Amino acid sequence: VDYGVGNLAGCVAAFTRIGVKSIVTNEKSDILNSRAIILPGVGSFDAAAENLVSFGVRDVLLEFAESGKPVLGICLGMQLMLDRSEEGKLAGLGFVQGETVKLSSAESAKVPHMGLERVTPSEEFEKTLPTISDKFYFMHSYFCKVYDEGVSVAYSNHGENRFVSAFKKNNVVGVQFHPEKSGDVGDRFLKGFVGLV
Amino acid sequence: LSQFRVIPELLFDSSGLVKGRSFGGHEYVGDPLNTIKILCDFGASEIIIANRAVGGSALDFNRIASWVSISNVPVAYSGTVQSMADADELLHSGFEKIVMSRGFFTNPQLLKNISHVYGAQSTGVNFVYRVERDGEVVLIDWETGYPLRQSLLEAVEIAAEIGIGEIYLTNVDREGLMEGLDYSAFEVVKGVTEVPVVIGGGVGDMTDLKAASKTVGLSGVTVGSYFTFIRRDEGVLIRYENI
Repeated sequence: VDYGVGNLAGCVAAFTRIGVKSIVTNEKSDILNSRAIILPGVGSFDAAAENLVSFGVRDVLLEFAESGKPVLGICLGMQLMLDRSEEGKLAGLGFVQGETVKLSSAESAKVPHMGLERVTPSEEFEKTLPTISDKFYFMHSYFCKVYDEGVSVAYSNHGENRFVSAFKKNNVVGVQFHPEKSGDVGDRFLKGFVGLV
Repeated sequence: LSQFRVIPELLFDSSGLVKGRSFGGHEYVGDPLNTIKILCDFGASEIIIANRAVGGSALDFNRIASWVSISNVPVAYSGTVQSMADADELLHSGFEKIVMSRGFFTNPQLLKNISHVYGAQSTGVNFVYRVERDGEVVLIDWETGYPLRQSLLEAVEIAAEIGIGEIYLTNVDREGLMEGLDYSAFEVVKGVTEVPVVIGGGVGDMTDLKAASKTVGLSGVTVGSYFTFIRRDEGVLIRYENI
C-alpha cells in the first residue's frame, strides 16, 4: 500500500525475487481485491498517519483487515497498526492495542537500532512461520509496546532490552525488522508469509 | 550485544565505480550493478554507495535506482542532496538512508526535514577529518581539503539537534591506504553521542576488522579498498568478509 512514505521499491523488488506478483497502489478497489496487503515501513509515525488519511486509505485498510485476509506491517507499517505512538500525536490504525515507545540508548545499544539482530519466535509461532527464526535487518528508533502480551509472537534484543519484534492478531501480522532487506533470510520469510495467504 | 556492522562502501562517479587514495587519484574498478549483486551474494548485510563527483552535479536517478533495485540488503546513498524532492526520489527509489558530508554544513535544514519526514534512521552524516601533528582532530571539506570552522564536538552537537540517525567518521589521510583504522575521532565523540558511530578509512585486513569489532561503543566500519582489491597496488577482486 502506497501511503507516501516507506520503501515501496524495496518491497516490490523482494516480491519479484520470490516470484510473487505485487502492485503498488492506494486505490480502494485494488486494495480490497488483493489477496494480501503489505504496509511498508521507513518514515516517521505522524507523517505516515497523516498520509493514511490524506491518501484516503485509512478506512480501506480497516475494511480490508476486517475481511480476514492477511495484512503484513513492516517496521513503521507494524507501528501504525497500534493505537498511538510516543513519536507523534496522531492515531494509528488500532488493529492491535498498544503504543510505540522510544528505545533507550546505551553504550552497547545505540539509537536508532541498526543492523542484523536475532529474532526468536514463540514455540507456537515457529510452527506457523518457521522462517522467522533467524537474523534480520533492523532500523528503528521506536518499538511496539503491546497491551495484550498474547499477540506477541517473536522477540529481539536491543542491548539488554528485549522488545516485541513480531506480533500476530488473527490475520494481522507486524514485524519490526525489514524482511525485504534481510538478504536470503528475508526472502525465505516473505515466502513463508505468502504461504499463509 | 548488537551485531557489529561491516559495511562495504562503493564510490562512484560518471564512469562507474572508482577507488583512489585520500579521496583522490580515482581509477575505474567496475560496474555498480554487478558489484552490488556480488556483495549481496557474498552475504553483505548493508552497502553504502558514495557519489564522489566533485561539485554535486545533478543526480541521474534512473541510473542509480537501477543499481539499488538489485540489492536485497539496505543501501545508503552518500553524497550531497540538493532538495527535498531529490531526497524523496532517492528514498522512494530503493535507498534506505541519505548520508551527507558537505551538505550537512551547507544545508542542515534539509537533513532536518528528511529526518522529520522519514525518521532519524534514514539520515546520516559523514565527518571527514584529518589528525594534526599534535593529535588534534580537524574536520575538513573533502572537496577542497580545507579545514572547516566547526570542531568535531560542535558538529556532533548540531547533528543531535537536527536529528541525524548515524555518524560516520572518515580519516581522509587513511582512505584507500589499507594500513589500518584511526580511532582518534571516535575517541572524541564516544560517550557524547547517542546515535550509532561508524568509522572508515584504512581497513587493510581481518585483524583491523576484528579489532574494530571489539571496540566498545563502536557500531561498525566502512570498508572500501580491502573489499575491492586483491592486495594494495594489485588487481580488482570484489569480495566481502564478515567477522
